[in-house]
Amino acid sequence: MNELNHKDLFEEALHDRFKNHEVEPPMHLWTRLEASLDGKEIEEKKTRIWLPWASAASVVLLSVGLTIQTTHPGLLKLRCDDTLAEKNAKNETKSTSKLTENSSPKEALDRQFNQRNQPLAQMVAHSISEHAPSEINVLNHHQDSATLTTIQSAEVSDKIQVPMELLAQMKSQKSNLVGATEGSGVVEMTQSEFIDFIRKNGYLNQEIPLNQVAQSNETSKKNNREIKRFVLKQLENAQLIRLNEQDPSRIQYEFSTPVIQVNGNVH
Amino acid sequence: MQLYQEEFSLIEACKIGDRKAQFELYRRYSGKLYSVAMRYLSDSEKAADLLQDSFIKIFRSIEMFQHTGSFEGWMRRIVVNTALDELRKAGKMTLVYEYDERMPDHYYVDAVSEMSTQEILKEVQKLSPGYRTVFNLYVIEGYSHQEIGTMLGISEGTSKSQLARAKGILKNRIEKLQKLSS
Repeated sequence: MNELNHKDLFEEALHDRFKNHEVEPPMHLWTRLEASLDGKEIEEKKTRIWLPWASAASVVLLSVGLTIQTTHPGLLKLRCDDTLAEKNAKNETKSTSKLTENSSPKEALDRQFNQRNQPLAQMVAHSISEHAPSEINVLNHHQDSATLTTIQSAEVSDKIQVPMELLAQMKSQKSNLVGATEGSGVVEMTQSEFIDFIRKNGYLNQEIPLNQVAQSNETSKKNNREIKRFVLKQLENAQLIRLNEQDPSRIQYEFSTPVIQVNGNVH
Repeated sequence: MQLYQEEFSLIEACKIGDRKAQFELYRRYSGKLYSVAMRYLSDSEKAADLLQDSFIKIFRSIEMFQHTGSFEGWMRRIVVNTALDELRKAGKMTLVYEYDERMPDHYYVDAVSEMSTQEILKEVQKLSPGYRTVFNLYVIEGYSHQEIGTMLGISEGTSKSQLARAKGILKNRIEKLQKLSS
């Protein structure tokens, strides 16, 4: 191709081998090429270009405000951010303020209320009515920074098994536990029952008083670690968010985000 | 009598979008051009896509061909440039520096003559994209190091060193294959 290209013998040998070398292209290639020349594939390519953008947009839409995750078969958890909810509420108030100019205060309030509650209502309706008709009780627990809403249906299929040994370490009497039977090493609970249980025992959204429970006893310390491990395993959304630096024996666990929990026959 | 016996009439028919002429052009040159594509892209599926894109470019720009040089050379350059674009897009044009053993120059020419082109192609395809591209452009396409430097945005010296390493690796592999077969 160029005078400045001086090849040695090895290069010449390779060049000669490839100079007229042919490889049979795939049989379908002409069909594809013909389709491209007719402009068919160009449209396909355009569609393909939009696909990643469309999927990215849907992921963003889904992740804003809501994260839906299934932790156990039959259990659907919906997380929401209180701060975000407050912001949305403010925005809604702003956006509806113009509309309310020509309507009565009660109508405006109703509209705001309906708008704010619409997403949750739709979600509950979707998860419950689509799969199994159930009786739903809504319980709200307000704590310092987090709001836990438990929505329980009559048919809760998922159960977690809590070893009696751990429950004993939590100083709970077997007779007080629903589902505890003689000779059984475990007690079955729904996750919401378990959350209520550990909350009552001071293992949720509260400091775990290691120094009080463990009392510098090695065995107790080990047991306490077991309890913590088990609790964290069951509460997959719980995170160690703060260590008490002044007192390393006191560790605080909290929900990383407020939780709306839906228990039902979600298959 | 075969249609488009003269390359001139074939090209002119392609210029007016004659589908039969386009197929004939494809039939005549797709094998050679696919071989070029296979040398630049190691994956045969990607090479097929490259060939398809190249033919689209060829048919869309064929009216610019003025019969002043080799038509096959013109088409090969389109395939090579499309391959370079593809490698750039895939971020595979990063030149790497591997340890290069100085190989003695004996028996490689004989070894090459004993190997099939398919075997040599496989070894070329195993080279890293940077080495492979410089090797193809210099040894097979016949570009100078200066031209390769301009095409790839590298210095003439880098092109030379990449070629030397590519050849070194190829020689090593050919030597190993020879030892295995003997």
